[in-house]
Amino acid sequence: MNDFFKSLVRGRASAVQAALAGLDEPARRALGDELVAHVQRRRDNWWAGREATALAVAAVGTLSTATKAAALLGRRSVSLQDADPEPVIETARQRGVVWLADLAYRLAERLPRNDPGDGWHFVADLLVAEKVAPPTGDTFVAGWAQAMWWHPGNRERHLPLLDWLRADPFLDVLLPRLFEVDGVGLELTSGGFGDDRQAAPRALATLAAEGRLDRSALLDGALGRLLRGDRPAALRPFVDLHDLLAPTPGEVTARAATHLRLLADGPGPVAAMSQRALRGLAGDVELESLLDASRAVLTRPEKALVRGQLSWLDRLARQRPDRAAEIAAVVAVAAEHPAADLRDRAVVIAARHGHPAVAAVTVAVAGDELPVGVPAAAAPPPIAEVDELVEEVSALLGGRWPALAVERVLDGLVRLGTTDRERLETALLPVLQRHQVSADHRWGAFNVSVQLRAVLLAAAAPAEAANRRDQWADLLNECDRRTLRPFRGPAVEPAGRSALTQLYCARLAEIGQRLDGRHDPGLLAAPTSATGALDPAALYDRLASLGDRPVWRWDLTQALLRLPSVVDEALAARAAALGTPAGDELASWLRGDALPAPAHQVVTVGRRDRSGSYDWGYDRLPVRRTLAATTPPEGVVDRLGLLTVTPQPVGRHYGGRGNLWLTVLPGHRGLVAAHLLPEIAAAAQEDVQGGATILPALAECTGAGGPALDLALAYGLCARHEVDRVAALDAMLMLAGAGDLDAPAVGGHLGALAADGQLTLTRAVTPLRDAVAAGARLSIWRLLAAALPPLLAAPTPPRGTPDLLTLAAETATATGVRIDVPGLADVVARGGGSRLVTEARRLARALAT
Amino acid sequence: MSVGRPTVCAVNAVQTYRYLQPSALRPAGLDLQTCGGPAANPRFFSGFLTTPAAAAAGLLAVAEVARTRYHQPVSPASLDPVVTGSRDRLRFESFSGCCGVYARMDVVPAGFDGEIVGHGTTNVDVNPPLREALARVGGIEPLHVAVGPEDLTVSTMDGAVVERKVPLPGRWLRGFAEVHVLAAAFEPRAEIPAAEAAAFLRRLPRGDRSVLWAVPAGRGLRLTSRPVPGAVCLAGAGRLAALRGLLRHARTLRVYGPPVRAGSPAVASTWELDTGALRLSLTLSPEPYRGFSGEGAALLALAGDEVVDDAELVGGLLSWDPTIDVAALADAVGLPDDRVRAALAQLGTAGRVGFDVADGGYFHRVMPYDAGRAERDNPRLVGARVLVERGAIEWTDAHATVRSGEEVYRVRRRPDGAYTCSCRWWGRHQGQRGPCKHALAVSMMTTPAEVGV
Repeated sequence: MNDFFKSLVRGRASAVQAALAGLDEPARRALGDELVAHVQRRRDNWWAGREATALAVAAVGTLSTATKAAALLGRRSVSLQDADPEPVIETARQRGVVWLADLAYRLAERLPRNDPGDGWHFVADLLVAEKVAPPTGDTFVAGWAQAMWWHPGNRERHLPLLDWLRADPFLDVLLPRLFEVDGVGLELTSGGFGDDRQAAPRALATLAAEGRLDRSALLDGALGRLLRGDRPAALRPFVDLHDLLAPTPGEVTARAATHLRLLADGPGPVAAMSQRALRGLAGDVELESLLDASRAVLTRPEKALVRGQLSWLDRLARQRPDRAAEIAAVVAVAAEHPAADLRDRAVVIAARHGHPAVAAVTVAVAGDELPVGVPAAAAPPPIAEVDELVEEVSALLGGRWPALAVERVLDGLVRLGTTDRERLETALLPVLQRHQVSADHRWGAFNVSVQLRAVLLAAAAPAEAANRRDQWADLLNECDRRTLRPFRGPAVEPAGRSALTQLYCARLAEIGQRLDGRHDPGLLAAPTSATGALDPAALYDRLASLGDRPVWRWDLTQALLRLPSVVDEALAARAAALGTPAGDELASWLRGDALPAPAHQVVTVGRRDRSGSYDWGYDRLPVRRTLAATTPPEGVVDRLGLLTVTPQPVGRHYGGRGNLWLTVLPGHRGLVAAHLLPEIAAAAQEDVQGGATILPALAECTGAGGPALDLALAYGLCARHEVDRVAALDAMLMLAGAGDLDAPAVGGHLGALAADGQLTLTRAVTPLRDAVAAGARLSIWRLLAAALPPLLAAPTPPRGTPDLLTLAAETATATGVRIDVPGLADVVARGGGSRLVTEARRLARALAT
Repeated sequence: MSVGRPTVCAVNAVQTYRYLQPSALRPAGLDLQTCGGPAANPRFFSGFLTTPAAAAAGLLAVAEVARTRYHQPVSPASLDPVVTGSRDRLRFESFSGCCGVYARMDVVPAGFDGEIVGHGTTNVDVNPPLREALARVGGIEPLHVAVGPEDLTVSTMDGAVVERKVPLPGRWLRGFAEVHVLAAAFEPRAEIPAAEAAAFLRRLPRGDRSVLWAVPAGRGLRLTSRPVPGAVCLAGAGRLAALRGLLRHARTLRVYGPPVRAGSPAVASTWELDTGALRLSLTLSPEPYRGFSGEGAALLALAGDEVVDDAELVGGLLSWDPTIDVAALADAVGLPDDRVRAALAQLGTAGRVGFDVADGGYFHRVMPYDAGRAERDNPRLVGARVLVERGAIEWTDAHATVRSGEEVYRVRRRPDGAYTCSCRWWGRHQGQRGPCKHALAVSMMTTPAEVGV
């Protein structure tokens, strides 16, 4: 390698320059070809900083055209962000290159769209050196906007923005494009100014005040941008610019049509800007157009905007008594607004100017009107043939594990693996190989995922099964100490692993062993309902057809756990008549010796301990979380750990496989809710998306809910993401439709958690309103009546409390049901005009009539 | 688990737009410039729009969809909207850069007063100054509109020719055509008044990418987390933002979707605002990251040769009717109705018909690009043809074994006629995106005429 390339690799631009100094053109071009080959060969090299400078010097010093140089320097592996343009320009001068400006234009075209600042300064310096006009492509303009606050490396360039702009040779050419390029507003605001996000608009406004820039061009540019629209955040600097320019009444009047359009249709902050500008005009807006726009404004959801419009129209009606009736008719549009306080205000103003309100007649219906819940769908039919089984396995390995699909595959494996063994092996093995299912089991025996893969491998390759047998035998031996029944007996120490893992692993180990059998009739525990529940009659039939074949203990355990928790004496008698041990077990289960109901207790836990001094995650954890603890009832031994839920401090819970819980205990939703509660709470407290989406499935299950389910609904209603809140709403409606919703308990938890600062109450308003619209008005009224007392008793009622008061008043009126709300009278007695007191008064009035 | 290397589509091309001058709103009226299609710069319409503010809002919405990527901006592809002049209808269509949103504004006879002077489909220029001007359009005075240049010679003289070259990705073409095959299975699900529609659309989360469902509740719609019969899928609710501009002119919102039941996966849906004089509809792909291009709904139809012949026959008889009467067409060509429908689906993939869910029928429209090529060169279809040529398919008992390289796949025919496969792609999508190449190859070997999944 010669000096040239050595210097290039080491990033020594001056040495590269020196190596080039004595060369004639043919030699330079020959070196240029080598250079291109060199860069292409070193594909994994990242050219940045000094290396990029050296590369640019080499390119300008050796390549023959701008096209070639731009192709080399525009590669994605070259970052010109910190490259120094000085030696490059010097080299070009020495060589007499005439295409430096052309190179700059071509590089400007190739600036990365997602990071236009990367290389912008380098290109800009070449342009300045060549004294040519800047390119006006979208990316270059975005880079310019970013350059207003981002000056990498070179400290002396870091002038105050105003001085920088004043001296900027690009300003006049690029400024009009600032209003045209989509999304450039984001570059203007995205950081760098510290707290001053208005720095760029302020600098532009100052330059306009100095006469350096054309004031009306700035105003028109900003308004044009706002009219064309963009993402809301990208519009913010243009709203700021408009306000900082402080347009005179004359300027606003000239642009009144634009402002009226923005007021009616623009995004919230833009409409507010136009409202401010127009209201400052004192009556110079044409009334017809204003009324036309007002009709649209008064239906907008932004309350401040509507309130402002109402008072504007009120003032206008006073000033123009001749048109007051017309104005009042428009004001009456807001009498239909979703916000109750705005409705009231609109009615008052309309009436003041001669447009009396038509009293709405409401007929109270004292109850919910909800569709009757449909029973959960039946489970899909069992897998009938080998190819179907193989497809299901492929689907299982390719995505998440829906519990029902896992159960179907396990059942299919047991049946087809013992009847059609050879075909299963030939068909299953390629699928497992494609998914790279390996026999590696570093993760230990008690791991559902490892054991499922082990069973699949055993079904596909019998040699594998031999390796596993010992592990499965050990695993089942260990589980022998932790059988579900009998429920009385000596205690054992806690297992240190979840009951879910233990139960599934024991079942999988059993299934692995069953694969050695012949003509296995399938799993006893295979669900008959989509919830995972098992019909007792179906289990009886399976046991009856089993005859004297062996019964696998964990299969039977899971089958019993999937039965609905009801006593069925008739079926129990038939089961007992089978005369088999399994028949007796079923009989006693159906006669009431079933899974005992645990005792629930609501506890509040704090955060986990801080670990070390740099525990940034700790400070982001919610401070408190209210969870449900369950303990087995007096005298019952919980060897498996199913009945024991011990809440862990926030940040120390490790969830996962939550969807499998439902099919383990589909008849005990309170218990499942207690197990899943930390994940559901995280949807509300830690912004986890999808944390509460399991709620409708939970509502579809059966069994007593208890505090865990009520807490889960309270968290779900206040979840961060719409998809979780909607899931909570669905669950609530399903429960209410089935008569299983304990509305006051949900409300009590909602109020207490919100008063304690554990929830963001405002999020619950929309789902609760939707529930009322869907017909659950009495349930929601009962829920609210229980939620309000803790909220009203709080030193400062949390945000959203007035909205709940409004909804309470509406539902109380709609149902005509009187429920006493403790603490309401105290708030009303405070007096004053705050929204809390106004809405409390509204509820008190509704209860008084 | 990824599915190996990404599919490289080899049919990317470049679209060149050459407008005689930029479209503009002048005191005399709105001049929309055109290029491509039946002529270099065809002229379709000259007359008045009866509801200018609504039409301007609708046109802005169509243009907004054309220039937006709702999922992961990769390259700044921005293809112009197209306009179709057919008998009694002006239709403006656009397709988003992410291939997941299709927008169409249909101006019905109540919406215009004038003559449709030419039939056909062409690109239409909507530039930033025009967008700003359209945003200012108000009032109730009818607005004069010309679609296409008035006088070719004058316009070319002043040297204002607008020429742009933009990439024309194969997946964009495929997606645009695929929308209509999916939409043909849609049925009306709900119709709600404007006030409720506004409240519903305004509350939708902006950046949300999750899959929700909407069901009728009271006078409006309610969101729900799980599909039930009658529900409409709403995936990536933020993608409906383009409807907002027309909200205050609209009378009703109608929603269309395919039949669903409990447990259905995410599906496509159409949301249509009707002002009486025009309709604006947005069709959303089943999930924000899924373009229509990958839905594969037309692949089985394309696998056969007979359908292609039928399509040629049927295609020759289309005559710019606002809706295509299948029964009349069947009489004319002497084919049974279902074969005509299959032929229309095939024409849809070639961009030669579109589907209007409001009318419940196909309409004649010829894309100003060679859209058919993209679908014929669909990677799955190409892969399937290779498998057939290599004789990789072997029948064992009721099912087929497909050998592709080292791998062996089993393809099974279900009682309903659909095929399933043991490949990873099928395992991941389970029929939600049409057949895999192995299933396609098997279907080519058996019954070429069979259509529909």
